[in-house]
Amino acid sequence: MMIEKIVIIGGGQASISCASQLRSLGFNGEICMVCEENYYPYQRPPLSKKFLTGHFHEERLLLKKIDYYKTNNIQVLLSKKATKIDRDNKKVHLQSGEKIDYTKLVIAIGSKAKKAPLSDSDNYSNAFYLRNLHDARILKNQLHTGKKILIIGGGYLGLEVASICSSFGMHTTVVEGAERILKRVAGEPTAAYFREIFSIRGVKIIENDFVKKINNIESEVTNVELASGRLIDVDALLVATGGYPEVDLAKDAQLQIENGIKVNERLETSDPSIYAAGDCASFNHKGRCLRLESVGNAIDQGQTVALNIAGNRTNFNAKPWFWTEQFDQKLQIAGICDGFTDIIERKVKDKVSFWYYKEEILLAVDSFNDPYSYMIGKRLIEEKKSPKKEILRDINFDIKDALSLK
Amino acid sequence: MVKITYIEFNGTKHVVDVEDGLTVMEGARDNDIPGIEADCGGACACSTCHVYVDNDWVDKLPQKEDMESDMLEFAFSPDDKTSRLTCQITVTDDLEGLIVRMPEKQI
Ligand SMILES: Cc1cc2nc3c(=O)[nH]c(=O)nc-3n(C[C@H](O)[C@H](O)[C@H](O)COP(=O)(O)OP(=O)(O)OC[C@H]3O[C@@H](n4cnc5c(N)ncnc54)[C@H](O)[C@@H]3O)c2cc1C
Ligand code: FES
Repeated sequence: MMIEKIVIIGGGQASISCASQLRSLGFNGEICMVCEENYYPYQRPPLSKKFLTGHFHEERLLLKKIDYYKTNNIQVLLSKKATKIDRDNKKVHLQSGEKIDYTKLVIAIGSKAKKAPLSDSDNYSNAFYLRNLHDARILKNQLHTGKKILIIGGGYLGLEVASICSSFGMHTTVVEGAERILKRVAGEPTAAYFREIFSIRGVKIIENDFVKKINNIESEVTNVELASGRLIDVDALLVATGGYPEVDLAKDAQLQIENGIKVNERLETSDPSIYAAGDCASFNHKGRCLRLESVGNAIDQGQTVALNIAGNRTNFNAKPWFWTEQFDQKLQIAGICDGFTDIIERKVKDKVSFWYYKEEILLAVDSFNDPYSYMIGKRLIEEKKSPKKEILRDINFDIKDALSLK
Repeated sequence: MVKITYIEFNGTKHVVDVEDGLTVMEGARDNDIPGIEADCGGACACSTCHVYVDNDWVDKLPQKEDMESDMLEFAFSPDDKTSRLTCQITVTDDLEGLIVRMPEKQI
């Protein structure tokens, strides 16, 4: 019988989740990970949080110790970029010229940082991105008390970095082109909650304004002009305008692309011997092609791919959850608020949560330092239970009881 | 280095040395001990690093914070007294000999 050889392109959260699940399932074919970066799989969330503070050693980022790969017979090719998928001959081509055979291929290439409003050719010495450990190492060295940083993009990532910079005593400004921060991922009440916290700490948040011109002296950005005419002096600039999947590899192989690499319920691409998982995979969720950039999604999808490769037909069932840390606030999110019509605020003592409904259906919960509400919300959403909104408005009601409601 | 014993639900025992300053969760992760998943990587955001601490150790560990207690309440089959999230316990010399048991599953 032909030995199975699973090649995984990418060495991040989804990749290691798939590889380790395959071994846990007793899969004994070959596994090979092709990693563009020069690091074994590591966790990214701390890169915009603890890691930047300098109180978190790099080694702690590793998802598995290096021995693990040897012990479990997982081949890891570091600093190797996949450049082409030859589906006819079932080979992956690497930038180095090597070609690797596969019987099944998993694309787990994550997402890259958008450059806009900078362009590909811009090469400023004090403009940064934050997607990987290399970026984080560089950014960490820029955080100095009294320096001025402008963060372009008011999503979770930009705001997390802003909170750290401000804690370092930097003059911190965030500019967001949309009408408000967190426009894509949360409702106005959550945005307002953060706005207030950031304002108390002296972080300037400018919304509904965008970068018109970047002024520089030689390679150094000196100030940034906004559409409103505001001029912001900078020592450092962080572009945090979001991520996108770099799908050229899949597109050139004529795999179906729609907001990412399109997969079916078993996470197969349009070629059934090729799967996609993690940030780059776009799956059908309530009738639209959705991509999630979160650790929980990467883990679940990696595991689902492994189950399918090992012959246990398994459908992917999205259970979206996310967290973010801003100053002393941990925001935990269950579900996806997209399409909400109503938001119910629950404030019990110092704990605040926002419950998103589409008509009578509970879609998502945002909770601030309130894991109790988060955990209940997550269960309700997974069990497709929607408590009546009046019940939630009553702060004397213990929401835990909602779990046993019909 | 601090000696910690992790006992899987099926009874398999792992006695390992964990470096001071790491968390009990990281000790399991770095020694590839199954049963602690730690999806969030230690952010107290997933409750998949739950264990039952040996009775003798319950009072010797630093107290739980509210966040941890709230997360634990919704872990799989928590116990009021002995349940802990391993990512919230930092390893110090005082923990020499700690024994923790894994639940049947994480969530
Ligand atoms: C700074 C930061 C903070 C985050 N914070 C949170 C958080 O708080 N909570 C949360 O849930 N999520 C968070 N995320 C998102 C989370 O980390 C990602 O969703 C998750 O890592 C996705 O896993 P992945 O395997 O799809 O991609 P990744 O982990 O990004 O791994 C993809 C890997 O593939 C490699 N690659 C790409 N192309 C190729 C190629 N052609 N050949 C070979 N290798 C290639 C990349 O270099 C990369 O190493 C954060 C992300 C970042 C960047
Ligand atoms: S690792 Fe997620 S709560 Fe402990």
